[in-house]
Formats: sequence, C-alpha cells, structure tokens
Amino acid sequence: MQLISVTFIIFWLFSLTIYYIFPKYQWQFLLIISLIFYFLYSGTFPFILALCSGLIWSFGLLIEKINKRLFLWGIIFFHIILFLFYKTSSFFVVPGISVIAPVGVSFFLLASLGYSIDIYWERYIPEKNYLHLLLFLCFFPSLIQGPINRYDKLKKAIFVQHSFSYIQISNGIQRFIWGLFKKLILVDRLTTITNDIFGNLENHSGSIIIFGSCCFAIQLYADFSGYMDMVLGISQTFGITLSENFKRPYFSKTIGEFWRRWHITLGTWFKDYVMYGFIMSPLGRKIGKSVKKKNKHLGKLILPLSGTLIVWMLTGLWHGTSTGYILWGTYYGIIMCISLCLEDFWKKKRIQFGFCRTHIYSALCILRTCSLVLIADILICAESWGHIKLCIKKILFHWEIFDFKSIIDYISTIPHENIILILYGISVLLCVSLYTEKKEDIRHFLSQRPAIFQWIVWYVLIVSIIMFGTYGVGYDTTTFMYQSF
Amino acid sequence: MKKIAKILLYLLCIITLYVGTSEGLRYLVVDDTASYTRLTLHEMYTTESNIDVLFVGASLVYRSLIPEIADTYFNAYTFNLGSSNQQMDASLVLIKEALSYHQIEQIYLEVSYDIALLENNIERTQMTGTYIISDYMRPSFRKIAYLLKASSFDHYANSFILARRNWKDIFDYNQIKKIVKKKSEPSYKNYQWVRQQDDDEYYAGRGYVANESMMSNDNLWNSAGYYPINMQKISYDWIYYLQKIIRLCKKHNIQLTLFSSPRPEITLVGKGNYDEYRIFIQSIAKEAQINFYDFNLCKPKYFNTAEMTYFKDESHLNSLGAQKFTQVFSLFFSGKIKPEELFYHSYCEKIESKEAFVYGIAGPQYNADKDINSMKIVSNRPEELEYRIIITEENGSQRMIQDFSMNYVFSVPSEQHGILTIVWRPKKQVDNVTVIEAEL
Repeated sequence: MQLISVTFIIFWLFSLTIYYIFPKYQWQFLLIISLIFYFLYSGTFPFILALCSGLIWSFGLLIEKINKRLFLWGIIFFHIILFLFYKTSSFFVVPGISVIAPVGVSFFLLASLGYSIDIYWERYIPEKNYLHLLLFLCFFPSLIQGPINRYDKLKKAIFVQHSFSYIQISNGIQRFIWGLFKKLILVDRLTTITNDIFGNLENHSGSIIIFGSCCFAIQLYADFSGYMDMVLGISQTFGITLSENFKRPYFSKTIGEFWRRWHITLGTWFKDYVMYGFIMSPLGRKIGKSVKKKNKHLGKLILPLSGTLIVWMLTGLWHGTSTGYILWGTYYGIIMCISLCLEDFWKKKRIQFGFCRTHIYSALCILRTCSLVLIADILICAESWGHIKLCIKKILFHWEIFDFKSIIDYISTIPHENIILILYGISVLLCVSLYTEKKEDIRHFLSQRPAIFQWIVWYVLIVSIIMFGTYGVGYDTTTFMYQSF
Repeated sequence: MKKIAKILLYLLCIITLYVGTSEGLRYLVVDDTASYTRLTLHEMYTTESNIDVLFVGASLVYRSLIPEIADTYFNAYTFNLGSSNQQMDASLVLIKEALSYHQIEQIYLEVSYDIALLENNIERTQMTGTYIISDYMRPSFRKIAYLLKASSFDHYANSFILARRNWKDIFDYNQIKKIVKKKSEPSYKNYQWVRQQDDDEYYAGRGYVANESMMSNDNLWNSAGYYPINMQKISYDWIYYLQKIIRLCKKHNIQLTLFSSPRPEITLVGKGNYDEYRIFIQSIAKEAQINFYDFNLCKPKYFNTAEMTYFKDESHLNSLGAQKFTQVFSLFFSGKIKPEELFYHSYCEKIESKEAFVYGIAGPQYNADKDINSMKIVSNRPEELEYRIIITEENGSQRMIQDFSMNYVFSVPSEQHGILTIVWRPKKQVDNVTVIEAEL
C-alpha cells in the first residue's frame, strides 16, 4: 500500500471513521492501524520495529537501576550498530544472505535515540507502557519519512481523546491535496529532466548541469515537502499536529537559516542531541578550555566549529554512505564553519555600509544561499567522485556556465506540455510560498474568502491533479526521494 | 443538518462541474471522428428494427460478415457487433448491452486464437480494445463494472476520465482546432461515415467495415505465420468470459454458436499447429453442448482460403472475401449446405488433400541478439520436400545457403539484401523442381 493510492485513501477513510466512532480507544486503534500500515506498506511484519521498541522501552525502565553513563553508551552503540548494519549491508554481501533495511529505519532510529537521550538527560520520565512507546515510534503517518517526532510533544497529542472536528478534517484533507499537487504535477516531470541530465553528464554542457541542478532543487523540495504536507494533513485529520519540517527554505538568506527551514526536525535533532551533547560533554568542555588558554578568540569558536563539522559529517552519513553524501555533508560543514568565522566581520561591514535592510541586499543573500545549495545538490546528483569531477570541469574550467543557448536548445527537446505544467506548478508553488512568507498561511487566507471562491480554488487544484497528475499507467508514484534514507 | 445539506449541495455542484469539464475536454481533445465502434454502437442502440441475429468478435468479424447479405439468407435482421481487438470480456458486455435493447435469438461468436492469446485483464497494458467500446456505451452500472474488471487499478484514471488519456492535446491548440472542426461536420453529428476518395476502408453500416485492398497471389512473404500458436498462453480470462457468455446465452434461451473466420492458408499452415487450437475450442464447445464451426476447414469449392485476393492482409478478409464468406456462412447456417459437405474434418486433412506445395516464406523475424533475420519455408508437407536456398546480392554475386536439404528454417544477416531464390522438389525427384523468388 502506497501513500498515493486508492487503497490508502480507503484505509485512511476507514481508519478515520472507526477512530471517531470509538473515541475511548483512539490510541489503541492508532497503534493497530500503524502496524497494519507498516505491514501493508513494506510487505514485512513490523517485528524488528516492535523488538527494537521493546529494547528501548526496557532500557528506559532499567535506567534507574544501572549506571546511567553505561546505559547511554549502550543505547548509542545499539543504534549505531543497527544504523550501520542496515546502511552498509550492501557493502558486505554475504552469499545467500540478503539484508533488507526496514522502511523508514533511519527516522525510527533517530526518534528512538532521541527518546533515550532525553531520558538520560532527565527531560522526562521513561514511559511505563510499552504500547505507548511503540505507538510513538510507529505512528503511521510519520513512520516512513518523518517528521522526526519528540516523545514529550507527541505524547500530548497522541494519547488524548480527540472529538470529530470538521475544520480539522477539512484542513487535513486540504493539506493532503496540496502535497499531492506538488508531487503529481511537478516531481515526476522534473525527475525525467534531472535523470536525463545527470544520467548523461558527458553529453551535456556546464550550463545544462546548472539547469539540471535547479530542476533537482525544485524536485527535491516538491517531493519531500509534498510528502510532509500529505503526512501532516493525514495526521491532522486524526486531530494530531506533527512538527513542521519545511518553512519555505529557498527564501533563506544564509545557509544556517536554510537548514533551519529545511528538514527542520532533522536539523533540530542534530542540534539538540549531537551539537549540544558534544559541547556539554566533558570532552567538549576540556577541548574548549585548553584552546581558550592558548587563544581566546579561537577558544570561543572551537566548540561551535568542531560541533558543526561533526554534525554535518553525521548528517551526510545519515543521508547515505556514498561519496556524494559524505562530500555533501562535509561541504555544508565547511560552509557553516566559514560563516561562523566570518559572522562578526560581516556584521560590522553590514552596519558600516548600511545595506543590511535593503531589498536588493536580501535578494542577493537569497541568491547566494540558493547558489550554495545548488552546488550541494550537484554533489548528490552526480553521486560518484568521477561524475563530480566531470561536473566541476564542465562548469568551471570549460566556462560553459553562461552557455544559455544550449539551455534553450535543451528545453526545446522537452515536450511542450510538460514545460507548461512545470511552469504552472512552479508558479502556484511560488505564489503560495511568497504569500505565506510575507503574510499568512494560505489556507487562512482562503478561509476568509467567500465559500464559492474557496471551492473554485480547490476545484482547480483537484482537476489539475486528476487531469495532469503523473499517476496511473506509465508513472511511478510509489517512490519518494527521502524514502531511501 | 443545514451544514450537511450545504456540503452535499457543494459536492453536487462539484460533481456537475467536474462532469461538465470532463465532457467538455473530451469533446476538445478526443478525436473519435474515425471510430467505427462509435457508429456501430449508436446504430445498435438506435435501430428501430429488432436485432435477431448477432455476430460478435474481433476484427475477423467486423471485416468478414455483411449483415445486409446475411439478412436475406437468415430471413432475420442481423447485426455485426465486432470491434478491433475485442476480447472476451468485451464480447460479454456487448452481448449484455445488445440484450438490453433487443430480443436476440441467435449469437455467432468468433473465437480467433490471437485474441485468446492476449493477456489476462489484470495484465493488460494496451486498453484501446476496451476503450473503443466503453467510450460509446451508454452510461450504466454495466459499463462501470466492465471498466473496473477490464484492467488493473493503474488504468482506472484513464478508464473513467476520458480526457486524461489525451491530456497532452489540451496544450495543442492546432490539434483542438482540427478536432473541433471535424466534430462540427453534420456527418459526425448524425453518425454518418463519409468515405473519402482515397479510402480503401470504410464503415458500411450495421457494424460491417468494408476494405477494398487486396493481397496478391504472387506475394510470398507472410510474417503472421512464423510462430506456432502457443497453447500454454491461452488466457485464463478468455476462457472464463467465454464460459460466462455460454451461461448467459443459456439463461436467456439464446442459441450460441462458436465459429472461426477464414484466414489465409499460408498463415495457418505456417503456424503448423492450428489443429491443436481447433481441437481445444471443440472440446469447450462439446462440454458446453454448443456448436463450433471452423471456416478455415472449408472445402475450396465453397471458400478457397488459399486464394489471396479474398484477403486484405495476412489475417483479414477484404470486401470481396467478405461477400463470398457471408454467403457461405449464411447458406450453411440457414441449412442449405450440410457440414460434411462444407468442411474437412481437420486442418491437416485439408492441407494434405493437396499435393506437396510451397506457399511462401514465413518471416522474417529479427533476432536482435544475433542480428539476423530468421525465416521459414511454408509448405503443406515440409518433410516431403527438399530445398535449395540461394541469395543473389545486388551486385549479382550469389551465395548458397543450402543445397537441397530438408531443412526449411534458415536465417540471413539482417543487413542482407537481394533476391532470395528457393528451389524445391519432392524428395529425390531431381527433375521435378519448382522455383520461387522473393525480394529480400
């Protein structure tokens, strides 16, 4: 069962009906449907998830009876082993044994590790009820691709009784439709372009590689944020509000801001558990003190810098073990470190020249951030070191970056109906993002308009999806880009 | 309560608007101005006469049986409900559709092997054969059920939203203009077929499609006869829906007869195992206690399947063949010719009743792995003949592939061109040679 399928819609509607008919047993029902969903989605019994949840739950209960530090390292070791086992299993092929990573294992492990560290830090007491913890870790909308939940937040929403609310359900469905629009109008059409460009790098000029990278940036955003819209929409219909994962990242003025707006729950997870963990650790403090003794300025920076580098190396590794991802993580780490080092310098310059509040300056900052993101995207798309080198050679050394004619020639090879639909999708996405960025949530804006206007907007959106959506014969709606992480 | 009524009203508006948009887009982007089934089904729905006798099946039906000729022999109103690639589930739905508008007494169902070998409903990748029927069926639950069962889930969007199939044309203004212009013609609106001057093929009324083109007796190539009929591939759904038709006819007290339309002899001889298929159908018919008649077994005196001028291609009759066949068909079913007089007992008996003879060459079949074209000499008694195969290249040089050997399957490089000469003779009869030549 895939998220974009009539089977899922039936499953969803059926679950909603039962959920609101028997309000006393809502969380128990959610647990059952989450496990059923996992089974139908992945085709495997959620045995590993249940077992891991059992271990995490037991560790949590035993924490007061065993050495805390030992507990923490035990838990971290357990997660690392599991993570490496599934992520690198393809490297160590043992004849006759095939290791298939459970769907969403990376998201599951981050949520469970976060829960364990929080217990260690005594942010909350361990959960006594195993089934409660199991539901937190397996809650079906966020199980496959996140968002990465925090136990204390989700607990408040998931274990309380929810009464039927027309507005909640209508908002949830609207959000789901918006996610569908992004996925079905934009993603697959852009995928065709990016696959063609990055699959035949030898045949394309540097400017087309840049164009492909732009397409990939939109494709990745539409795919992941579209999935998140669907997940958050589904969750909302059950009365549960999950954490937002995107806040229009391409309007960010710095890379730091970009990562506070892109995959927010992953960023905050690494910041809260890795960065702070490192800074507050005895080792971190020791390093800070010893460097401070030698150089005061460097001593102030050393912990944030090394923390940032560690965080980004791990973020890259979490996304994948290929060269591209490792370079991608290192690249972001270096960019972040440079911006940390230059932060004070730029601050002074901005004040000195007085251009910090102009629109042009903001636009230039956004352009700079987007350019840096595009470079990172090339690292992911090119995948191997050989391809990355080829891209760099074509873009920088062959001076093909401004070869606009080849871009126009390339666009003319794309079927014109696809170009129209991509432009239509991007325009709608841009308008909605701009309005939300500048003023308010677009759904709030819509809710203030006359009913007929609202219905027309949703009608156009739904008809666009039905008529032009890339579903059905000849299209694959089963895969989402972040699913593989 | 008021709120629910309001929502229902909105939903009703949305559905109306949606149907309106969908139909509007269908008018703009779906070009069905050359559709035969549009006319056939319209005629079936609107004809004032009651259809007494119905012919059902794929293209071997709508190109083979002329209702106007059949009427005079059957002394009844006949109708041809054949359509391109009509699979058995489509035949069933068409029979049901006809039954709800007419009191049918007799149904003749064509059971050609190429349709039986098509994939099961759930595995279908090409839906044209389904859509050319469903698009012109009147709205009903039967139509919805037919579409739901006709394919896997992936096709549903295209099945139920007609304009989606041609969504790319929504952005093609010239195409829309062209379609609208064609649809504005009175002939389109009045369901009339206008035959253009150069058209070989045209809709001739009551489901029959006439074709004036003609195969030549000199043509030696035949690609349809290269492969034998793969009996293992007969689809489960084909048998399932055939059984359903049999049960439906029994329930409505309709006399059902299975038949096979004639195909060129070279095609079936080339296949080599046609009798296997015929026996298979015969066993189904016997079990269901219905009749099956195979007109490929016709004696040449009544219908000569070796006469290529009766055919438009390697499978279908042309209008000359259709006229001749309809007469034989009608004479037989109106009891004027007895079965033993008209038919051989088997296809083997039929072809062995002739002297050893080479019909032509089946193929070429391209083998991409080896980059060669494979061919097969089609003969009614391949084991009794010897063949010499020579290729004369464009520059005049000759290359012998084999010299009077019994082997009748051979291959040449795909780039090979020139004249292919086959010299054949009955085994060891050195002087009794016949030469045939074909361009490679």
